[in-house]
Amino acid sequence: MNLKEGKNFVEALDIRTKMIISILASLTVIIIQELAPLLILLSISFLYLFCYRKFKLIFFSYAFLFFMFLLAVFCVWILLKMVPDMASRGILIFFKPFLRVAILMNTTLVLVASARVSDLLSVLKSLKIPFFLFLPATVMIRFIPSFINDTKQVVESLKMKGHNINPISITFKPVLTTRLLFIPLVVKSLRTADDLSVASELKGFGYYKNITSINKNKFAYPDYLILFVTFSFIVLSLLMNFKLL
Amino acid sequence: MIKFKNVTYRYPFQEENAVNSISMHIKKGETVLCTGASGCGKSTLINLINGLAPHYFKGEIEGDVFVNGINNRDRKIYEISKDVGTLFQDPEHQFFTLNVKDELAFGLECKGVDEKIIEEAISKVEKDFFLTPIINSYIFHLSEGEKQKVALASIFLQKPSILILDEPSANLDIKSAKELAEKLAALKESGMTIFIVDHRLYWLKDIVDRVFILKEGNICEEGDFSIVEKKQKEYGLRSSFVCHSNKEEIVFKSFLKEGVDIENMSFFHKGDKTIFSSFNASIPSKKVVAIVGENGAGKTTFARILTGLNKLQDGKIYLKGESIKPKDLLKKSSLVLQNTDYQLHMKTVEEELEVCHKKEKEYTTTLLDFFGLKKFAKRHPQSLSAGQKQRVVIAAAIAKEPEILILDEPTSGLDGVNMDIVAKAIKNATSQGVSVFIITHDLELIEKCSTHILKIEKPNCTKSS
Repeated sequence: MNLKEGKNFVEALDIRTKMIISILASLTVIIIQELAPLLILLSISFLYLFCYRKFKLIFFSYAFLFFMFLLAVFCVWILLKMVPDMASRGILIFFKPFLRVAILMNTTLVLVASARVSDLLSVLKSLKIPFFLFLPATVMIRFIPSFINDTKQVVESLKMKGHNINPISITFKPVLTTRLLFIPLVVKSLRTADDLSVASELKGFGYYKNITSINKNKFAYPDYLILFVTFSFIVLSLLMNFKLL
Repeated sequence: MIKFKNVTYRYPFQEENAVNSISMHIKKGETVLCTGASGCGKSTLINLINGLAPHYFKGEIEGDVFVNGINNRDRKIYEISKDVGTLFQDPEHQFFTLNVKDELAFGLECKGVDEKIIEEAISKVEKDFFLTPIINSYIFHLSEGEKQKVALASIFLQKPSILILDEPSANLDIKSAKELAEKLAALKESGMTIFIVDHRLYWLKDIVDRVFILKEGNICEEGDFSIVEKKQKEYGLRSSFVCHSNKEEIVFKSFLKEGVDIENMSFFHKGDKTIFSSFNASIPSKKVVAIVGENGAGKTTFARILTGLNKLQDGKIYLKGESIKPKDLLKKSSLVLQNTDYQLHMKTVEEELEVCHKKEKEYTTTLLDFFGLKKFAKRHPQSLSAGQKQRVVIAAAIAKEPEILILDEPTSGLDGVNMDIVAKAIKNATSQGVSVFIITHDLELIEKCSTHILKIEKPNCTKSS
């Protein structure tokens, strides 16, 4: 993957723009309770993620979210069997949290997948965020692409052994499928976390006063434009939520 | 430069010491090789020099380690790392960013070095390490050998006075290993202290001043390079020299229709360079074919195509004269990748093999016995050492009874004894009718068990010599 040549509109945005969008999205979804504004935010955030043009990443992220949603629906169904009174509160109450997660996923994925670690680091440091907060935050963000890569490798290794991870195997062999997928993933994730810590320690990450960056990102026209669009939709959704429109 | 004063170290939650009463002194400008059987404590010595033990791994330490005259106890890891640059066996362990250029810049950026100086330094190592074609590549898309070059280049940018290399030749092609040896010789000339831990020894003869042989955490032998040859059998070491290989090269003349035939194969990654273009090859069955070539030439991609993990853009693959689809190749082949952690899924070693076949339990026992894994049968496979894990994944691949078995660098990190076991298993598989492909830069393994050589060259296809 050639990052220079392949830089698209979203990738080219300043890291601060992506961070502001993620933070605003996180705060707004806490406030908003109504379905319609949540759906509007979901659509616009999905468009933002779609412009990033990493379609495989989008597909697998949504597939995972959908799987979690089905799992939750199944659990709710069991709950309703046991406590029928809960049905009076409506099924939407269980649907909204997933809309919130989807909005957060859309904005965070762009930040996580397109951010340069040193850019992120220098921004966090310039915001005077304490070391004990920005160090784990950066490592966490860096961990996600490794986790995606690990998942890919584990699934391929399973394919080689003749085990396909699909809805059929999950339904009929849940224990075996879970074991096959999660054991190497857990082990590898622990190792990756360890490796990243070692790598950061050896490079003196976070110990020096000044951090420089060879990529000089500056706020440009697209940054202002996308921030304007973000603010507009957030205001619109808040107005709708509080029935001021 | 590096001084160990009666150092004993034990990792947390371990009953035995990793190293015992180690005392040694490595002078400025000296190049030292440390070798020994798998699990003898070589990597622990590295961790003690770069400060990861005990600062990061914790554990109990007695004695003192001095680097450039300063006790490691008195410095933090990042302070020690100004003096000591470490190249890990798996270079991915030391990458923090996701892009080659970013990775090269990252260490300097963290130290607040001026952007212009960083750019100039990167341009220099880019040329020195031939990184231009991959300078903007995504880290996860690099071959293992390319990762190693990037990791080494990133260490060079930090300008340490001591260089530590853990199995540096494990993923390097022959040309790159030679280049590395030349680079190390030049660094030695410039006064850099070099500490190398490696199983493959043949490339080090001309650059090493002193050799330590470790056994069960103790330095058992010390001397010049000649002791490696003298003590090879006693300590289960790899050979100190390798004869020039005279194996038969795969030459495409016509399709044999008995093993694997590849017709007009074309393959490229989306938006990336072409790896194979109208590639033809005919590989006889029941043979061991060593796939060799430069780092990044497409050897692993070739293996992935042969196992059906990657689909061809054009061309066909025939097995025993019949055209075969990728999904059928998946069923009829086994691929052992370099990173074993991804390939171990079950609760015990025994179960790991059992899920791969439908035969009687005795078959599992026979395999465990053959690979020297019987005493680990009930152990969790992820708790084994790297060499043991490697044997488990190879045993599991063979248990599937494939028609095509592909092993990607199966001896990386293995000592002489373990390499012999793997070589024996490979020969055994061919006698049972399996076509075996080994992607390797290990001349010793090629000499020991391969019957043919298939050269893959950049940008594509075989060398039909």
